[in-house]
Amino acid sequence: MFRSLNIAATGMAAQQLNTEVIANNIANLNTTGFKRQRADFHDLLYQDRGVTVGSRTSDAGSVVSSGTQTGVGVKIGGTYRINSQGALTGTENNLDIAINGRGFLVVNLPNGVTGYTRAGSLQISPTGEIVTAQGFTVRPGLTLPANTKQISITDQGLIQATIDGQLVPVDVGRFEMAIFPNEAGLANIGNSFLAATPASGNPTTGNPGDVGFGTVKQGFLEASNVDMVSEITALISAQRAYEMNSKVIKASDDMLHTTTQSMR
Amino acid sequence: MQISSFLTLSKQMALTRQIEVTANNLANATTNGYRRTAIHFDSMMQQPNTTDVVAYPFEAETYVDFTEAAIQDTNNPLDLVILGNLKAFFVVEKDGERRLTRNGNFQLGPNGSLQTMIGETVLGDRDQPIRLNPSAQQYFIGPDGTIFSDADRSGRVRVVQLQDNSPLKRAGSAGFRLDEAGVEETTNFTIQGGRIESANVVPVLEMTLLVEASRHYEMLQQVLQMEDDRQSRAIDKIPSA
Repeated sequence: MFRSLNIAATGMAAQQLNTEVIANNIANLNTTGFKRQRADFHDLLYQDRGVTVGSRTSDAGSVVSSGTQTGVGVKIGGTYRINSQGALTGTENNLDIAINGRGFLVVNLPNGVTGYTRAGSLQISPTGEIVTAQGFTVRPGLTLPANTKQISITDQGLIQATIDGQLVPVDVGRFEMAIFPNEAGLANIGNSFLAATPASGNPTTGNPGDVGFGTVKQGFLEASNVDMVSEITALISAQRAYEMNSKVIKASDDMLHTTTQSMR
Repeated sequence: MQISSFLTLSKQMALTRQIEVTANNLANATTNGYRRTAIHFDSMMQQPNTTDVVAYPFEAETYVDFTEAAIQDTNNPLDLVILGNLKAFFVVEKDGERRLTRNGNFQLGPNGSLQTMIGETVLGDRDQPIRLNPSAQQYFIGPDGTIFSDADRSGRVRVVQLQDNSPLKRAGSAGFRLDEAGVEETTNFTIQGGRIESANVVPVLEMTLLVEASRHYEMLQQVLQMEDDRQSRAIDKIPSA
């Protein structure tokens, strides 16, 4: 059978995944702290057919410089996150924080896993604890004193609470942050959380503003780093590439049809 | 069977190969750093008798097309492109096997080493892996391929240039097997970070080749059909005993 049918099928499968990745980026255009992803493709193995490259062609020592090598299609190498900084947008909400620079907030997830996130839309739990939008504890575990009327967060992540009737604010604590040698190796676990993997390396924890760590900005949120124009361009080229691969299938099919038609 | 049928068949086989190569190029139209395969047909002369000369077409070789590819901006500091030299390559290694590639889609490995997307180590000059400082705030790429973690020099990526007519064996993942004898060190290039080289597949060209091969195949089938009819008519003309 025509190998071109299978080759084109690998191309269509790859472009389908490419479209899925782009669709997810566009869908998360307004997700706080979302980092866009990109699909990475690799060509598959090559088969030597006929003359092998490098084989001798004469007694004088001349060799075949290119041979006949045909490829068998394309595969998906992986998808990876582009960890560029998203734009900081002002929200005028005291409990919104954006990380400017490297690092993640560390969150205790209910299943015992440690989650890492850049989505800094924080809330206060009924017990006065600072939690994520889903109600999970933000490390190191910060509880505001009763009757807090004003919260201020410094660039270094220090939280100060002004208690009703008192003039001097009290220190509540500092946010914990983590950085990784290879941020691209973190696994997406949904809800804007990432988890450490062997590829990401071990987290180094510290506080905002430490050497190598970003700072936090109170009253801001980090928008996603999805660029609409480049996503749409990528979508168009993925769609066209898909179409071209389908044309290969059509052409191969036509050729097969031509052959089978002449049988009698 | 007559020679014309064999001739037709040999060309049809060659066209099948052509369409396979085109299919692979199109399937890899979005593979970063991919170099398209081109195919070259040759003819094999045969003199079945003294009067006419018949030339059978056959596939002589596939070769790598090194023409320029588009460069895309990614803003990912560890995406590197080689500019100004179409036959220059990065050297990457995994399990002792070395490959040449122009796909500069690199990332930070778990231990701070510079890696490809499929976990191959990117080699620096003197074939040492490049170790970046994982705690650095920013990476800078110099035009000669030197990578800095903040202000500290982390290493320089090794770039080699293919010698003319050296055998080139594809190894998948937009790469070629490294044959040290076939390459030479070079300084004739510029490296830029934050950009990536796409495949050099030109969709219009591939689609034209595809249509051409498909129509040509059909035409040959007609020839085969006509030859078949001719023989069949000739048989009919033989008076039955």
